[in-house]
Amino acid sequence: MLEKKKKKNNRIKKDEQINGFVFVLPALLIIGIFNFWPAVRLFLLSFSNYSIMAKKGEFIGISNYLSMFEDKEFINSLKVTIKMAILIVPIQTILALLFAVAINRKKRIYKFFRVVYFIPAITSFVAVAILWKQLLNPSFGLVNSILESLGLPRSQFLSAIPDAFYSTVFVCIWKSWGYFMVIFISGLQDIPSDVKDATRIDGANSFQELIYITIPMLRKTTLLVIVVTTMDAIKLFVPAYTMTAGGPIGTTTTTVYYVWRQAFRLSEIGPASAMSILLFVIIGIIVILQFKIGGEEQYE
Amino acid sequence: MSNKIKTNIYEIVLLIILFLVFLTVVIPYIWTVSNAFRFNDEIGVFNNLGIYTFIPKRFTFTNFKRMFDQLNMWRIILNTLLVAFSTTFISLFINSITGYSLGQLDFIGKNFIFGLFISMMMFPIEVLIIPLYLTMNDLNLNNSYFSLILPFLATPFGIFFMRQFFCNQPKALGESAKIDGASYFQIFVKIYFPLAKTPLLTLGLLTFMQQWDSFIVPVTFINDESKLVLQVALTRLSAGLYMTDYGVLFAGVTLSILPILIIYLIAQNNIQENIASAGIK
Repeated sequence: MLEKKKKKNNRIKKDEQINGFVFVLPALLIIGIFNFWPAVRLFLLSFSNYSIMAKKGEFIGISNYLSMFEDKEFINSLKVTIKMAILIVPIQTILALLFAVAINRKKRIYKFFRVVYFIPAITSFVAVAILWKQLLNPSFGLVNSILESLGLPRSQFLSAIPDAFYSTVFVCIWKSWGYFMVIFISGLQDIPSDVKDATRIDGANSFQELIYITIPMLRKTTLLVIVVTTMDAIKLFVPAYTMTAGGPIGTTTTTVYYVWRQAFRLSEIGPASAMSILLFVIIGIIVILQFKIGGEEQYE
Repeated sequence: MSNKIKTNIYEIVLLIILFLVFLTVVIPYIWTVSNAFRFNDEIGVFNNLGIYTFIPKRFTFTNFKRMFDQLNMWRIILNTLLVAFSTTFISLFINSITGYSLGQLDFIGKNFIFGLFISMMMFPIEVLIIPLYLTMNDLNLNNSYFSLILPFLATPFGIFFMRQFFCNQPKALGESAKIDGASYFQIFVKIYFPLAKTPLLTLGLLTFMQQWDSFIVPVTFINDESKLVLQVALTRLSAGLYMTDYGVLFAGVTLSILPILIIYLIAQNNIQENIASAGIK
């Protein structure tokens, strides 16, 4: 009897083994072919002089990596990307946090503002970029009309230095801050209300409440928002492609855009792959940070 | 009393600030949409701020008509929807059956496979675009819808997200069905999959929006005019080979904004909650 039961259990175990594996097989194939293999291939390509036309390349050691650091335009693109991240990440995070705190009230009107502020987040980045490219149009853009009516000088915006850079930063923030505001609001709603009540009873004003209660309790949300915003800033491609083509003279050329152009406009596959590896290292560090902050069970 | 006045002043100042921000969000849309309904000779005429800066003086659909003449717009819309919907539905199934297997079943190599999936999060599409393009070339899939769909049918995040959900479901449900002779596939389809409505809705929404917005992939993989998707078509209008036809450009942007905006305004509560519940995309 016992023997029989054990046998049956074993059969179930084996069944589970097989089914468990069969169920992950489709994902394993997809991720294997379209993620894992390309990732391996990226490493191989970065050490080669691969040519798209000839469909082959030879091993050339680390010379792609060496030339990468001598490529002034590439270094410039790294600087542009870092400068953008340095502006976008804090401004956007602080804006999102402040407005989340201000707007997290029960009255209808606040709910209404929340709905509207989120609209750019559901608009595609390409549409946002084109929309702002026209708003900033030097001859008929609305922004110049407004500047003029305020008695301020007009600007060439996307074709001027440094206006193009700051315009790009502005558009990125305009697009995404509402999204992170919503994330912060959901974080705020997780703060137990008795904590807030206790602070009020102890006589804290709203500013003290913000500094000593709200912000510390939002620590994890804030860190995650910072990490994700940084990642988004490093991956910027659409604004450069759509609004400025990276110009004027490279002041808005982000790294992803530069690498993409090297690969797909100039067919410099090897060097572009080495640059992608550098991006991977940066992004990998950020992903690991993200996991560390999120902890396994709460992550994303 | 004075405290109450103070609170009121605070609230009025706050509302004024919120209203100004409201304007910076809304006015760009109003201006763009209104330009889509102007004749070309009216665009750029009302530069001095006035009522006609924000609504067309003579209302017309001619820009939309020209857009549909110049580009195969129905085809483009159809392509975009086809790619977005098929990716969303198939990936929901694959990601959730994978998540179920990793979260509920026991098999050799499970942790290794899960680790492999998770580590792929370090390779976003922007990093992998070059070798992925070459792989598509090898598979003869360049310039096809498959190149836009296949790579996204299983995603590390989707698997992670669904596994998270299935980990927290009781194992007893499946075990009792197993004793009654159900297969694991039946158990998944009939018991666990229906349980996952909420996370599936969230993940589906995120996947659909990602596909709808997707740009670097279609702009790299698709050359064929008849296979364009909306976002790429927009950039073609924006930087045409010829002089930019601004009326058509505004019409195109409007077309890409309005449907999503309407869906959002109808379902906004759900959409915001869903996105917040996924925490961070």
